[in-house]
Amino acid sequence: MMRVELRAVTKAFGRQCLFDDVNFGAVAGEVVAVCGKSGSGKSTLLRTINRIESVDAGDIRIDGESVLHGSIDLANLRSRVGMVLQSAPLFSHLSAVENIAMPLRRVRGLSRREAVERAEDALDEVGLAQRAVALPHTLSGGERQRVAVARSMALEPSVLLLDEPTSALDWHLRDEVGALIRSVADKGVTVFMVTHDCDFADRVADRVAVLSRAALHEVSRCDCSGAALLRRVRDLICCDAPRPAALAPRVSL
Amino acid sequence: MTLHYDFDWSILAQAQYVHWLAAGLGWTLLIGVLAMVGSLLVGALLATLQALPGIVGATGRAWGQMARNIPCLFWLLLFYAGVPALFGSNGIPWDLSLLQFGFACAVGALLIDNTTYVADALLDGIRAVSRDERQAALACGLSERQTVVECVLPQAVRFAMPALLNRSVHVIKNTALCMAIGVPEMMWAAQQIESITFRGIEATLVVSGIYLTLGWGLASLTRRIGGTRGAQEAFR
Repeated sequence: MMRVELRAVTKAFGRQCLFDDVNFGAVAGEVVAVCGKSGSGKSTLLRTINRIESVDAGDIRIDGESVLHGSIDLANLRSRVGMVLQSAPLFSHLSAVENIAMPLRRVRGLSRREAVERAEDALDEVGLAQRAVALPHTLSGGERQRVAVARSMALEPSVLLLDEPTSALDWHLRDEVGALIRSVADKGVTVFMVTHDCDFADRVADRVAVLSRAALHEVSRCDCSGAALLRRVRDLICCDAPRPAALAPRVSL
Repeated sequence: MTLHYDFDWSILAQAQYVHWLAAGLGWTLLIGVLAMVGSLLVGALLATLQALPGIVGATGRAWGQMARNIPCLFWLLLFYAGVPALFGSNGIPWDLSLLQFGFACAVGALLIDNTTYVADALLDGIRAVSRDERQAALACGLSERQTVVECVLPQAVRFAMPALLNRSVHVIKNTALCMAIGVPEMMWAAQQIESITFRGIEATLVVSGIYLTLGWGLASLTRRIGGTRGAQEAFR
């Protein structure tokens, strides 16, 4: 059974149609990447899954249950569907361990001691046990990303949504985050990420899709991989973008 | 150029004058603290009103403009002279002594004068909390109320701290206006000493030194207890 299922999902902002009739799904333990150029609507698509954004038409199901019912408990849904927003915002007044412990206390109802213990375990799993008391502004980009993933994972979600997990990270930190995503999926969590980093998507995801011209095109690994897959993704992304003029050389030799 | 004034600081060591200055300091602090605490409460209410739509929000904004643009001295004189006029021939209402009534007018006037600035500081503090952090709190499963209590307010208060501290220094300084209605605060004490001894420069310099120390002390205290990047950067 599909863990996450999007059926004929449609969304527009005014006259601008972001995506139309999107059908997509992912099973447990699968990493799915949606690529697309900036402003294509991929982050909005991701936010519809945990109802941060509404949809105009269609249905979204988690474990077969529609999340669009008016009666659904949003807090419960969002604790089952973890999300790491772009730039991994942490609560800047709380230390790394408190960032993880606070939602555990407020959403899961754990005592302060239990929450801190579980938060320390979550930090340990992402290799940041020694940074537990550090405030967010003292953490590097990669560390912040890992704390944000640990914060979502501590709530034991069945689905993890990642919005541009590698934006503003260098190649070394990108590899760290990529390994972390794979380890999360190995625990049976469905990871749904959006990124404009096609190379990263190719290396980390089981399946890659491209959001272009309001439609979602799946680029299956069975058809192609490596350079061929990247070429196809780029073709789809660039098909509606004007080709930039060649840059003139800055230095004549 | 020679100085044609012989400073005589010894005059200020007389018990009567030390007592006036110490009591004046007490009144200054009491009026300042009560006006600041009161304006925090009323300012929070005003900020809430201003954020609301419709006639309620418009009323809040009108109140804010009125409090901001009318001088503090006006409020002092209005309360001190206007309230007795409203309450008939007896003059002072609620069986208060003249000193108690002057004190109540002083706190009320400084409170009203300060309210708009406190409301602005609190609203700016709330606006300064990153939208991404609010969304992250919601995405973790926190309710709207929990997001405000756990994520927005603790940060908003810290962001507002430098501006609120600034206002508390202003309130302390504005207590000097209360001598106009006979409240025996520090400036009143300095004027009394001057009128008896003709040593106004010494008395005023001592009082200025106390105001300076109070303002400096408030800045240091906030730096110590605030412990926030915003507050530290503001006073670095």
